[in-house]
Amino acid sequence: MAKKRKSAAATDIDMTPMIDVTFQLITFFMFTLNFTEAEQDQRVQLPTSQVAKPVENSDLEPLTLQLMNNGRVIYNGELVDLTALGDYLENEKAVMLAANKEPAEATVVVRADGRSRTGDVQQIIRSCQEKGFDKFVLRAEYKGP
Amino acid sequence: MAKRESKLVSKIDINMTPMIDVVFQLLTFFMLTLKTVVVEGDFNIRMPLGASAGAAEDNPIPPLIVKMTANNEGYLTGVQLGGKSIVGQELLDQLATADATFDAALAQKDRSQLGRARQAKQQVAEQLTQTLQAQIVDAFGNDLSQAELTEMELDCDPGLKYDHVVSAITAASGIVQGDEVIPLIQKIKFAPPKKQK
Repeated sequence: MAKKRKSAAATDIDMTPMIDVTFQLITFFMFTLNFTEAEQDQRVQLPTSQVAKPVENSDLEPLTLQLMNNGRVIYNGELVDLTALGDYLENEKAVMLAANKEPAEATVVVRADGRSRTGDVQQIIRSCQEKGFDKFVLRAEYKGP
Repeated sequence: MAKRESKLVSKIDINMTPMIDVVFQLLTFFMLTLKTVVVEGDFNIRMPLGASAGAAEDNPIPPLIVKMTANNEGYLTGVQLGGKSIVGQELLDQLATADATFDAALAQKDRSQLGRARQAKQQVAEQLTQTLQAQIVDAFGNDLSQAELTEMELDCDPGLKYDHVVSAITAASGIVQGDEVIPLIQKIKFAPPKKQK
C-alpha cells in the first residue's frame, strides 16, 4: 500500500492541503475586513473609559464629527476649521430637511481626541445646537475592567 | 520545445501555479488591510435646545455641579463638587506629569516610551476617576436610587484637556463591579460656556 502511494506521488508535491488552508485564511481575512473603518480615524486618539455604553446603531445615519487635538474638525473626511463648521452643518441640515427629517432626529457623534480642549468640544456642540441638532453622544474607547 | 515537454509529462494535470499566485495575492491583500478595530462606547449627553432655559425644568433634585479648572497648558488644577475641592494636589501633580510625559513621547514619536507613557496616563486617569466616584457616591449619602434622577452639570475651563472630562463623566456614569456596571447619573450636560475673558 505504501509502495503504491509512493509511485503515484510522482515528483510533485500535493498542493491540496496548502490550498485548503490558504482558502480558509482568505475567508477569515475577508470576513474580518470591515468597511466602517473610515469612521475610525487614526488622527484622533479617543480617551478611554470603562463604562461607555456600546454604540447603538440607529436607522438614521449619525453625523460624526471628529475633533483633532489641534482644534480642527474632520467632517466627512474633510478637514474643517472649527469656525467654519457652521456652514457645513447648514448643508447637512438642508439635506435632512429635503429628506423630510428634522435635524433633531439625528444623533451627533462627537469623537474628540483626549488631548483636545474641552472648550472646542463645547464649541462643536454649540454650533450643532444653532442648526437644530440636539442629540449628542461623546465617543470614547471602551477599555474593559 | 513545448511539444517535447508535454510529451514528457505523462500525467494530465491542471497547472495550479497561476491559481496559487492569485490566491496568495488575495491573502496578502486581506492580511494587509486587516485592522484591529478598537471597541468604542458612547456617553449620552443631554444638551436640549435652549439649554439656558434649563432652570425651568421641574426637577426637585438639585443638579450636581462639577467644576473643573485648568491652567494655561490645559492641565487639571482642581475639581470642585458643590464648591468643595475634592482632588488632592498630589494626584493633580501626577496627572500633569503623566500628561507631560505622554505629550513628550508623542512629540518624539518614541514608540517604546509612548506605550509606557500611555499606560501610566491611563492609570492616573483611573485614580482620578475613582477619587471622583467616591466623592460623588458620598454626595448622595449612599442613597444611590437618587442618582438616576439627578442631573450632572460639568463646568469646565475651556482649555482643559478633554481626557479629564471623560474621566469625570466615567466616574459619574456608573460603578464598575466585576463585569457589571451599576448605573449612576444618566443626565449629563455641560454648563453654558463662560464669557471669554
